[in-house]
Amino acid sequence: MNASAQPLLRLDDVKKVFYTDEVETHALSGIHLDIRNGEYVSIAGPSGCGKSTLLSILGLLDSPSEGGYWLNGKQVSDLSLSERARIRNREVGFIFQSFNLIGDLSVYENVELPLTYRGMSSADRKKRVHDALEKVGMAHRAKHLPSQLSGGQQQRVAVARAVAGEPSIVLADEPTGNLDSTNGEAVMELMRELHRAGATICMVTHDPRYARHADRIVHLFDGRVVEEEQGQLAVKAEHELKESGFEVA
Amino acid sequence: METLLKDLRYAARMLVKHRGFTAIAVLSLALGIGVNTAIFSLVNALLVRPVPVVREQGSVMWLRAPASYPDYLDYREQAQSFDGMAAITGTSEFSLSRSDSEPELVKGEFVSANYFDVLGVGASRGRTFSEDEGRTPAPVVVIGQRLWRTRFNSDQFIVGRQISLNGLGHTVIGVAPENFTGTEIGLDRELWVPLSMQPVLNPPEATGFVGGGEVGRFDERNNHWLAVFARLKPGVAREQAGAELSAIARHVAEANTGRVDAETLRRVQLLRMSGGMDPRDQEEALPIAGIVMAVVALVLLIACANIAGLLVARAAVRRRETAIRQALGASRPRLVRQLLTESVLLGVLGGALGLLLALWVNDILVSYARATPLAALDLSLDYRVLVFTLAVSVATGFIFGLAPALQASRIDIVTALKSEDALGRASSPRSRLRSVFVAAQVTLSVVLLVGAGLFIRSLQNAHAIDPGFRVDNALTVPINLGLLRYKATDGRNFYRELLARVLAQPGVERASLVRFTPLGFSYAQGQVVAEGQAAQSGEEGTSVGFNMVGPGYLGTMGTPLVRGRDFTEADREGAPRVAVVNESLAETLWPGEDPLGKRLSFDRTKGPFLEVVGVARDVKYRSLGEREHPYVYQPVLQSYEPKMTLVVRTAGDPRAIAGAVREQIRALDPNLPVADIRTLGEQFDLSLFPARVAAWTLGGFGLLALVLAAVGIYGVVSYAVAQRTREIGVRMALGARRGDVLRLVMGEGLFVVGLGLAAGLLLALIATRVVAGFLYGVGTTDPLTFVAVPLVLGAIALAASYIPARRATRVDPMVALRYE
Repeated sequence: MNASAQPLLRLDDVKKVFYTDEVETHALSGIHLDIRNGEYVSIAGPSGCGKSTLLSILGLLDSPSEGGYWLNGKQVSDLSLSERARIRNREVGFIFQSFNLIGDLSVYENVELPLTYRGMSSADRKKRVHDALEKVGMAHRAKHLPSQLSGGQQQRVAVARAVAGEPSIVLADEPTGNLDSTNGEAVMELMRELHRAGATICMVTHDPRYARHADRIVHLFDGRVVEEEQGQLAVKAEHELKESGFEVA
Repeated sequence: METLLKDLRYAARMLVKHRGFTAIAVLSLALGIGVNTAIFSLVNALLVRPVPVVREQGSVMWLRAPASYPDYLDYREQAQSFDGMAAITGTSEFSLSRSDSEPELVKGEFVSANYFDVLGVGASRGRTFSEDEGRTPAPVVVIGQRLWRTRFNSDQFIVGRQISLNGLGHTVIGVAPENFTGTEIGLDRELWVPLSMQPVLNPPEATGFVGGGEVGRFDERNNHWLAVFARLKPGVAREQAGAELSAIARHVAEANTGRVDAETLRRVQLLRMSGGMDPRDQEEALPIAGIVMAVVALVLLIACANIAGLLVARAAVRRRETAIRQALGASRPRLVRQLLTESVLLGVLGGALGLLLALWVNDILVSYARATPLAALDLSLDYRVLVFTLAVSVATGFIFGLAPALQASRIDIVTALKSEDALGRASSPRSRLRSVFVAAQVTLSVVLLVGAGLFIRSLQNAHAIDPGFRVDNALTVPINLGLLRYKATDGRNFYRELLARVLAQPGVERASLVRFTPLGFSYAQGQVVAEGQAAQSGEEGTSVGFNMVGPGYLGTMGTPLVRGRDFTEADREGAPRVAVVNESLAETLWPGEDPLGKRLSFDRTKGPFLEVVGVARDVKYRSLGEREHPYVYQPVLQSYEPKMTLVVRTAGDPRAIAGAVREQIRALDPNLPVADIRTLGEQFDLSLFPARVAAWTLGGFGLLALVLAAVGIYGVVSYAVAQRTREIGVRMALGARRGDVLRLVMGEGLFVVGLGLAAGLLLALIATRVVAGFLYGVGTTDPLTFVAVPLVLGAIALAASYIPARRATRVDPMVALRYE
């Protein structure tokens, strides 16, 4: 869980302006953000503060109006649509609030989907899908359709889909937003496990209970980063480590 | 490949899941592709598919126009570009009799001895003709497989057996290979006899004026009665052979007539044998085939526009799925490919069903063709039809799938991923694209409906057209005395005796004979000059249609006489030569004068001159659509024709006396085959067949287009209503009344329809000019059609948009506002 010094992604003075008729809406205003490999970052803030816009830019679903975005050291803010699709497929795993599983595909096929776009061999895909489903405890439901699963189960499948391709970063947009508290906790636990296993995670949430699970919490307000703090669980873990005589970077 | 299979599997799953959509789409496509396949089968059979068995058909060349026998011999002997040159007479009838059964009428050809060699066709049993059999008359015959199987019961020892043709014994020397029916398909030829036998089986004394038998056919250089074809030597190009043949023709013409005219050179132009139709007829058939193919393509395009519209609507439902796939890394081409896989699969399913539909349509076409000269038309499936259907199916899938796929894949992923984006804007690009499809559909429907309207009006007119004779209660019985080599005197006696016997039958009111039944498939033309008005030098006289008829013909047919009299028994050999002319000819030759007693001739130099004894009302001779034109009737008892049709006017159902007439013919000559008995009404109906087919098919297609357009309009308005539910709720909350909402919603649909109507009418004005020549008594800008079509389509559009619009007026503002 130690983060390396080299940032996995870097946003430099990123701005996003939406134009509707003659009205300019500044969704993001000069965002600077570094996320290092293996880090678990939570982006928090009230509704309309720009969290989802920021996540869309991080996930290459949208591009900034101004500013630079580097992923794995490569400038990705001005790529073509197809190049962005390729990087999204290989480097980014998405977890959405409303799961966004394809209803006509089985659990297995949903998890396999990003791998098919990668042109991976059938045997490799099979192994990856199986491992990912095992990881989230849904291997026994591989042949089911999403409609045959509960909300919590669907989100676990979405998590499996996000990690099956072993992306550089998992982006989660309010992953517990459509779940009750029990299922919400279970999904957060799953995220922690992924993080412990080395995954880099960036999660958007407006719920402080879940935000504190991250190593670092970035607070947004009116499209600006107004505060950064360490997550409480991280503080607690650091404290425990120091007490045990470990040096913490 | 694996990805393609995966896409196919997913596409199949989606089609199964959305059964309603799939059923509508597959059915529309099946109708569209089905009619295209059916028409292509016909075009394929006539114009594309090579004649069965003929070797390397592309090397066989036809001379553009018939040649005389001496010309044929000169060309054959002098030309070096060909491996062989053959001559044929075209289809002839033969009376085939066996001791154990009644004589039968079979079709065959007189052919030069090298006919089979030039075509590269060998006998499946026995042999083909030898050179000697070509030089001197030899009573030998090669029979077709079907004749061998059906009439000779596949006799293993048929070669060497004697059969009787036209009452003369012939030795069967061979059986043609399976499927070989001559140089054209569809014509029911079942036997081949050497050309040298032609004067034996149809001696000059037994042929008539029309057949040209009064002159020595084999000696006359001006008697062009043989169709000639030749096989190019390997390595010789058509142009090279054509140049050589032109030079020979020029030389031959100069040597024999001292001059070369353009017609001589035109006659020897070489046309490549291609498809199953005589290349000389293809030039006429191609434009018609083009029009029909364009019409059926239009139907398919309408179906495509309809399905494209449905796909655009479905893409709206699947926006989220598309966004998820893109978020997971699917590139746009990848998504388009997947969506196209679905539409192509739909196209192929529609094509498969369309193929079944085409087989059914082909069965109907074949059954109709049996009553026409194309009696042996074979519309069975072959690889070309299958490839065509597959290609059209796949192309169709691309055509209706591409625009919706491109549109569907061009989305804002972020917005689409948000569930609240279920409602779109009414003027979104997707909605606009759908409107374009509906407008296009309406445009094409207008063109088709206007076409259908014109042909239906034309058919109505055709039924209302007075053909100039009574169609009801008349039987026609073809008789060919030439088959039994009746000489003129015997033939005339036969006719007199037959008429007397038939007239004595109960229920028979009148009876007569005619060489060319009006509105039948044959017609004769010539030039006449009036006595004392000998055509000026260089002019050939007045072009007329002519006919040989029996006594009382005009009365039997019910054709009114304007002046003078009908032919009688007294108009016989030895009596003064007479003629009856029609009003047009009387007016042309003797304007303002009394034509009775005037004389005319078909040969200004030799005569004989015929005295006009009657003037008949103009009749529709060849087709109901023809204009009045000059026509001459001559008494058959004065000139003789071996091939006539007996016309019997009856008091009741003419079919009822068919048996009695047949008995009388048999009593006169048991060896004379009688076939193709039909009523004049059936003959009349047959002449209307093309008009009826055009009206039915275009009407059917028009109706189909109307249904598809209605579905499309209903869809576009329903879609608009679904998209604007919230807006409608707001408007109603603000006080909009039902009428306001109806206007708002229907306005959009009707605007699109209005655009389509305007474009369609404009296009129809241009497109219908092509069919001008096929219409009876109706112009291509027929006001009734051009007013009725937009009215009907407009009414349908109004109904189709009213249903969803009424739904919009029932929107509960509270529910609609909570929608989001």
